Amino acid sequence: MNKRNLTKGLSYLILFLGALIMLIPFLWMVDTALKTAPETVQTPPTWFPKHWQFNNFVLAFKAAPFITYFINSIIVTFLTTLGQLVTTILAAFAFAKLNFFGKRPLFLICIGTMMIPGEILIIPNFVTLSHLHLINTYGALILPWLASVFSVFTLRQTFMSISDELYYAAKIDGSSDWNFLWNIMVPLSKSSIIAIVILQIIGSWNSFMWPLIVTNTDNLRTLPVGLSTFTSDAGTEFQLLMAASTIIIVPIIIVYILLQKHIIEGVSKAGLKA
Amino acid sequence: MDVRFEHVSLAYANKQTNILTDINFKIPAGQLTCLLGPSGCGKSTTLNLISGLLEPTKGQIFFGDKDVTRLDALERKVGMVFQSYALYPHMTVLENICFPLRMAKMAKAEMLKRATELAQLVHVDAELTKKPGELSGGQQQRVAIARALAKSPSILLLDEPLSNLDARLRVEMRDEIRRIQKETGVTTIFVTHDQDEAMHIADQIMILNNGTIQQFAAPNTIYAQPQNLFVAKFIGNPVINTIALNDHHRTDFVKLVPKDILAKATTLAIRAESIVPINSVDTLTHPFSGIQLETYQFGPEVTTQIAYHGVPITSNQFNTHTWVNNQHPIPFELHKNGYFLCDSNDNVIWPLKEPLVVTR
Amino acid sequence: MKNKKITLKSTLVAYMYLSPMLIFTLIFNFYPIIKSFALSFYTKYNFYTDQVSAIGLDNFKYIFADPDFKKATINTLIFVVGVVPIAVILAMILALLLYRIKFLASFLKTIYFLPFVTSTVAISLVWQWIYNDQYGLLNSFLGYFNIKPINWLNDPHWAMFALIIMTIWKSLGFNIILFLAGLSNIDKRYDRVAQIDGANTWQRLRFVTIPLLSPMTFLITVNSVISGFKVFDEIYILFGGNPGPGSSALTLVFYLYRAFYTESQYGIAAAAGVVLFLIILAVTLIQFWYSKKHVHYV
Repeated sequence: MNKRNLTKGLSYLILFLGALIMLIPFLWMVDTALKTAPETVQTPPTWFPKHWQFNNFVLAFKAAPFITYFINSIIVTFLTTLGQLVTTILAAFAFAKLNFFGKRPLFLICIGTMMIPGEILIIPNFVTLSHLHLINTYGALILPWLASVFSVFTLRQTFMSISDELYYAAKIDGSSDWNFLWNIMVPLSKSSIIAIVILQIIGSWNSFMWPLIVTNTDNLRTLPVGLSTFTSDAGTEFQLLMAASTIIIVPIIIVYILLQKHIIEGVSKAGLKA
Repeated sequence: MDVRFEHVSLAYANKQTNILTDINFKIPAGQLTCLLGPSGCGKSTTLNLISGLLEPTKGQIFFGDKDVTRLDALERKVGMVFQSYALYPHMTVLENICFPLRMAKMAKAEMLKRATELAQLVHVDAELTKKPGELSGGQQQRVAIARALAKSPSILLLDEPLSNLDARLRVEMRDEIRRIQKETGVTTIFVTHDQDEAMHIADQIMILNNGTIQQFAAPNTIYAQPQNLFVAKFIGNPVINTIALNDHHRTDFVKLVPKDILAKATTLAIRAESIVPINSVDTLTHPFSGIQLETYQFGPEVTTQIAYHGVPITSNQFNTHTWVNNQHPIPFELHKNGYFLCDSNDNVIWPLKEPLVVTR
Repeated sequence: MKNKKITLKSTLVAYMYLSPMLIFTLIFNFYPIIKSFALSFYTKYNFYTDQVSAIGLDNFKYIFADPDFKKATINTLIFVVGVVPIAVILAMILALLLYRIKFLASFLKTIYFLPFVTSTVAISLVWQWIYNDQYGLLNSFLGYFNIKPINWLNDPHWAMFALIIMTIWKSLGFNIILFLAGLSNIDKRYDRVAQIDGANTWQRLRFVTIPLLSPMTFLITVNSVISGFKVFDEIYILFGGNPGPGSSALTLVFYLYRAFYTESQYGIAAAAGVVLFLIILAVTLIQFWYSKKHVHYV
């Protein structure tokens, strides 16, 4: 073997070892989720369950209202993403192509708020929402996330890259601003918009601290919060905990595998812009 | 429809200097007019003022008898072709041509009929289902023209439409634009910085520099009777020879030019193609002499550098067989219409002009 | 219109486009920032009536005297110092390796990126199970090397270490993707020129690729440091709602959460938030100052 092949072989060895370490927790999760309770505490641990216990998923579903959590997560993720998409597209268009008083200062202020850690906002937002009597409602889960300065900033960059000539051409062709935005800008910025949507879906689906704080009943909890309360109930029933974890992880992994090209591109783009 | 500017000026809000200063002209209907000038001369600005994408700071703009100064691009019903074509990249050729019609809410059948006709006119009817990215530059340009024509514009505006094309295609598209203009008869205004392009395509040329009109006339008039040194220099290839007059030169011209004019003249401009060997046709029967400096041949083209009373000038009219050794005296003659005298303000004062035929 | 003056009308139109975003940003972003700074100075505050009866620096005095706050700050710093260098360097190495291969590259990328998309809560739960002292995968693996079981999550000496390992594991994929984006932005001609100039693989890496990658390295470092300062979810789950054995994994955000949610001391929580913000700001500014000298922007 020459030196070149040796380097290449070594690269692959390291990469595969790394990938294995990445995968083990997931495999171990599914593995445990399919075991019987005694088998989970067996030493040394087994990699292939002796009796596949698909029943664990049923038990987990029964032990806690995971279906409700699931539906809540879908509702919250869907409405947050949709709402944020609309506010983002409109605002990004104004910042990219329209002229108005106060454009620069307003934009700078918006950029400035990206510097502030989101954790600081939790307390006043909680206070605001409780004064609006919205704590423990869908409103509390959704409203604070309907605008994202980061998304506006990202999309504005994309919109700015669309040539002004195209804008003038459309104007001459008789298109209004509104028409131009939805007929030309949005289709042309498809990949950026998909990236924003996907990042928002992932963020929303996995969000934990905020829903933990603003919900206190099962019928409003999202999957991550539900799962965390379930841990105290399930105690050491690891096969049930892992089954529940699988339930929350699998949908997002399916989305990820279906859209991985967009996701990875989106993250790269957003990262390059930030 | 003709286009008329009355005392139009434009200054950008945050800058003191004008981009255009007190512009007056009338562009005739049904013809192809070129706005020509170096970059930054105000030609694109003028075009954008006509299109309605820019609003003048002062003055009025008329389309025919209608004052359109405060109307926007859509209300003026202009069609425009951009340098980058500005085709919608996510739409097919057909959808691109249809877009202005769709915005005007035209019925679908009529819209398709019109778009197909236009595609035939510009010869892209075989590409209707393709996206702009799949077309060559020339084809994209054709689509852009079809789209601009779709709504039957009052005026068709083209902003440097050929500068993104390679040299050969540029000549082809130049002739195509001329053909399409003649077939449709639409008043067309064409911006370019390429004098050769303007000379070939235009019925009328407006030469601009520093925000003012230098000359506005038919191509041949501009070539034969430039108003000033700028126009003389800008039109023609190779660039006209300019000579700061000294006493030797003046002596040569004593018999040819009236005394008072020669006294005012400070610059002599001679076209390279007008410096010809002795005994050529249509010349001043007056020999000049210079020293041959160098001769180059580029394919069929021969250029000869001549020191004329110490000032180097270029001619492209000497054939290879008249080559002699360098630093050899060389006699030459001048074409009757091939030289100009300018005063200290660079205005052409000789030959005296026949009264200008104004096209308004 | 190109030179259209900014008029009342154009402003009105623009603000109509902006209004949906502005309304929510004003209520849930701008206002809370100001309110949060104000809250940190409220020393007597009735949450239910929103009445402030006293203001002052007491909240700040309190947290600076609080040993738990000191501990939280130190723990957070340990966490950042423990995670960031390894996470960045490891991600860079893996990205450089991934960038040079073709076969299976996108498959491997997919796997490395997997933790980023999955719920921190669920994955922390899995790690809690892996770290289990009696039946956990890690201890039985270490058992093959005759290493005695370690009580990862209940031993104050190991808890922070366990948290750091898991965080590096989770952040790796995201950083790799960013490094790969940075690598693909480097003009390949530099590498070829260096090759012609006689640089071997290692020299090209050392003198061409890594310096040209430095803006991305900088960005990833800043990003990792900031998210390191904000760590919370992982701790909450890994240690079952507690900040680790003997508060060994108490971090600033956990401190803030506890003061706010468990103890309902809004002023103190807000003051902790302000301190967190100032620390992040300071660290970011130092990093930018440093990068001016050492980062090669092309």
